Amino acid sequence: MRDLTKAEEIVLISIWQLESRAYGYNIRKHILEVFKKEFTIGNLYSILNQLDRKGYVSKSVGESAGRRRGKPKIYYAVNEDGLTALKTSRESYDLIWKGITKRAFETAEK
Amino acid sequence: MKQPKELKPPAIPCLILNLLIRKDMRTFVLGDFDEVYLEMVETSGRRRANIWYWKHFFRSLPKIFLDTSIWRIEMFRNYMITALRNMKRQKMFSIINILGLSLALMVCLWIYLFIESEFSFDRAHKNGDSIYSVIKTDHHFNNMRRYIEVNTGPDIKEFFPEIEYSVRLTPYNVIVRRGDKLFQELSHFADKDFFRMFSFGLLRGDGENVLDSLGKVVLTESLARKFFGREDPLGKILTISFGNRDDDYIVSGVVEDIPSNSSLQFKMLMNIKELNKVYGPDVLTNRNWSLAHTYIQLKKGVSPEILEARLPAFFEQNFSPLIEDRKKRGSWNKDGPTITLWLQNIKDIYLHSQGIEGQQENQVSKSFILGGIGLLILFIACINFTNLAIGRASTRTPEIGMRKILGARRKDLIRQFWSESLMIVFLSMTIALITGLLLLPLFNRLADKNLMERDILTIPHLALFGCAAVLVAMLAGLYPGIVLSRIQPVRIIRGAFKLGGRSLLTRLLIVIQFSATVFLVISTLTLSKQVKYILNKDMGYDREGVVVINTFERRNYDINAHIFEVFEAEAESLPFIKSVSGCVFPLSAEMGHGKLTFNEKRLDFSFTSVHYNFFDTMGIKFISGTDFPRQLSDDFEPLIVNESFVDAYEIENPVGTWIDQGTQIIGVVEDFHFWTLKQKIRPTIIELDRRGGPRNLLVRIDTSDINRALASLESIWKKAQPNKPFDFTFEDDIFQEKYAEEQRWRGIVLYSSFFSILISCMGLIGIMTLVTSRRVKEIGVRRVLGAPVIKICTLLTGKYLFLVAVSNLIAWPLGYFFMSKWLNSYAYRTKIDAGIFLLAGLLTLIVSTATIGLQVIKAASANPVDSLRYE
Repeated sequence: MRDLTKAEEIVLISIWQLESRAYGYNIRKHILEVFKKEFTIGNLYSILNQLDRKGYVSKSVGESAGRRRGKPKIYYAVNEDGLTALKTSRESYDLIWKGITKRAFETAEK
Repeated sequence: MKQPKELKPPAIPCLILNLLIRKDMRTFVLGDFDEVYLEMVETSGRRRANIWYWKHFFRSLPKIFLDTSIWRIEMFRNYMITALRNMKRQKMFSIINILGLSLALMVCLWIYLFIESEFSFDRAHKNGDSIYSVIKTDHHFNNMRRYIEVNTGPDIKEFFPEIEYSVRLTPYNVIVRRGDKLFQELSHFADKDFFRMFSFGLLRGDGENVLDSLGKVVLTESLARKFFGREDPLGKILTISFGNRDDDYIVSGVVEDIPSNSSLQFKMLMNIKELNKVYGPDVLTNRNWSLAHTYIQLKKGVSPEILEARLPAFFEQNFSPLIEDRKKRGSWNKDGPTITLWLQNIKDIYLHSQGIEGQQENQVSKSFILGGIGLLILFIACINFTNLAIGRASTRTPEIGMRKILGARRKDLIRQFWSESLMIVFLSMTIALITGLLLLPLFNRLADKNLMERDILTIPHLALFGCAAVLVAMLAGLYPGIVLSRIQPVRIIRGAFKLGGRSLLTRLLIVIQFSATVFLVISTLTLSKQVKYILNKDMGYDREGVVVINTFERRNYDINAHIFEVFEAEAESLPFIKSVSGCVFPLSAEMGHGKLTFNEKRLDFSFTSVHYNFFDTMGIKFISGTDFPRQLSDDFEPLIVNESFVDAYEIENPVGTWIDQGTQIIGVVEDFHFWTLKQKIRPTIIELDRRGGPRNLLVRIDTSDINRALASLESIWKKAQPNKPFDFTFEDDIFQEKYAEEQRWRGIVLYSSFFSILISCMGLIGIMTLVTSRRVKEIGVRRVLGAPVIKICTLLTGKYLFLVAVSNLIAWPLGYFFMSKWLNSYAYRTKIDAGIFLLAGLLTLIVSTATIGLQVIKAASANPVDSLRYE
């Protein structure tokens, strides 16, 4: 299993949270609103393609409704491998941060 | 009201995105772009939406680009693996391809380097655009000269306020004394602004002021090392003699060695005013004397046309002695101006100086011819590649079928073959680069260049070679890709697919290949024949055993006379010195020329000044009359003319004829070749140099013991001139040097045709291997039925040898046309005879038979049991 980069993790979580509404435009908006990070469309798709290559997402072509000048959407969903990857990532974070509380930063700053 | 349809995003980024984004993701990504865009149009208006689109496009670009190429690289890796496997499986074909391409690319690399260095001449000067050489065209005598009247330099600067600097440059032989060692060096003399005008890298010394005063000398790095070794030369003293007087000079600067691609070459530079010591105090203002090259640098923004328009006025004002002289002779501005000055940009000096005295001709066409040869050889190698790829197609069909079934589009297959050829070409390019560098001395000798490894291995070069490799790979892989990708899987499965060896295209390509080869062979043979003709031609004089001794004295005739006397006196007692004479120019070097009206004919003629005994020493035979007598009457000037002179002016009884008042013909000699064989022998007048001793001593020695003869010549020299080095050349060397260009070309064409034969034959071997392997069973059956080996051999090779024969028939007329055109540039030339064509034909046929013969015999004599066992 290949590790997730931070950007991939953000995108993967967004897809997960958006459930059935996860297509490019929405993912980007979600990331901006929730994570306060702006991804360019090019950047976003390069990450999505990477996730696709690693086999963590499944794709399905959707409708072309909305202001898309007739171009279809592509919906992403986190598959089982993707979930496992997220889980592993979470566990490793927990492991890394174990024993360090938020208040530790406050004391460090002083 | 706006229709929603019109709300298109900006077209240009849209188009680029369309091209860049992976095809399977294209619509989705663009859909997202559109969605944001249209939303922006609604909320903030069209303008801001457009701005956003553009900005976002640029910000997205790098990632999109990267993403797309990652995808390509994945596929590329797969192609590479397949290609490597293929190469390993078919070692012979890979070797033929790689070897052929390496050779061809090496040749191309060399030729590229050659052309680049040809076109890089004099480009290094910072002010190159505004530096011009002043040239004088004499319409009356029909010549162009770079050596112009010595006063032009300062005068032109005074006349034109637009000129920033003017610099005169002239060479002179000097003798340098360092300790007890003597060196003879060619020094150059220039005006003080030399280093302000030209950008030669000054390593040591006080900036541009190094020539500002007398008593200073600038050396190149290597000359400084020759004189001073590892010591710091700056500020050191050199004793330099221009004749008999020694003076001390301070080394005021050291420059980098002058690059070989500079048409200004010097090793040693001094202020031009030093020449007063040689020629007298008024030399630099003498309006009669064409002594120096003159270069001018225009002020910023001045165009040369402005100057050229006023050059006639300048000429009228400053060249009065010349104009007076012409007027006296009645040849001043009779039909238009007789003499004009014009400006040539320094960058044009090397390539575009045809017709200017002392310059090589037609430099550009040389580059074109070589470029053509290079491309021809590369083309021959590419044909090998194509032919072998097509021929091997049958072994690749299962793979191609499989790829097609798995959904590879035609474009993908073409890309695959391109990747394969890319790999082979890159491999070949690497080999070519390495061998090309290892064999650089050979190149330098052939091309008369002085290139170093460090000049070649530069980043722009490597990038260029990379691009060239990609281009060649595309070319070589194009046709195989198209053909192989056309294969239909169904037909492969049915086994109905056959290709190669027999196809018309393959045959056509072989014919093209061999035609090119035969053409090069014909060129080689013709060139060799002409060179042989030149070297063996009776030039009308005997150059073997003539030693030319330079006296270093241009003007001091008394010293020269002294030297001459000493030599003549000593020679009498030495049996191996046959005769002593002298001349202004060594025979094979140069002569003066002009136009002479006589016997109501106005013709071009040449003239030269010689010393007593000249004809005897040079072995030129008299037809009638006598040599110059030792006792001359002061009443008239005796002349000796050549046969052509008598013929051209139609003189009936030449001896005793008066050319004009005071000059009388006293003898006629057989024609002899002063000039290259490119020019017809001109009517020539030889006069006696009565000014004193000769500048060049000519001594005919006994060639049976050259070393002894030279040793005693040197001892005589020491007796006559103890303070000067003994500097001599053989007349034969001067002669060889004159035809060095032809001999170099012979080498170049020889190597080219050798390489093209090699590459073509390698291709033929490859094709033959394919053919024999495909016909193994047929051969087996024939053997079983009783066909003899010889018969099978002729059956297999006949068709290919026929193709070689056809190539000959195509190449012969082409070769005849181009080579007779080349030969026509010689007034004296050999003939292209049938022998050359037959030899070229025979050579290609024999070589190709020999290369494929072994294989064919092996295939034909194989035991039929092995090939038919499984039937």
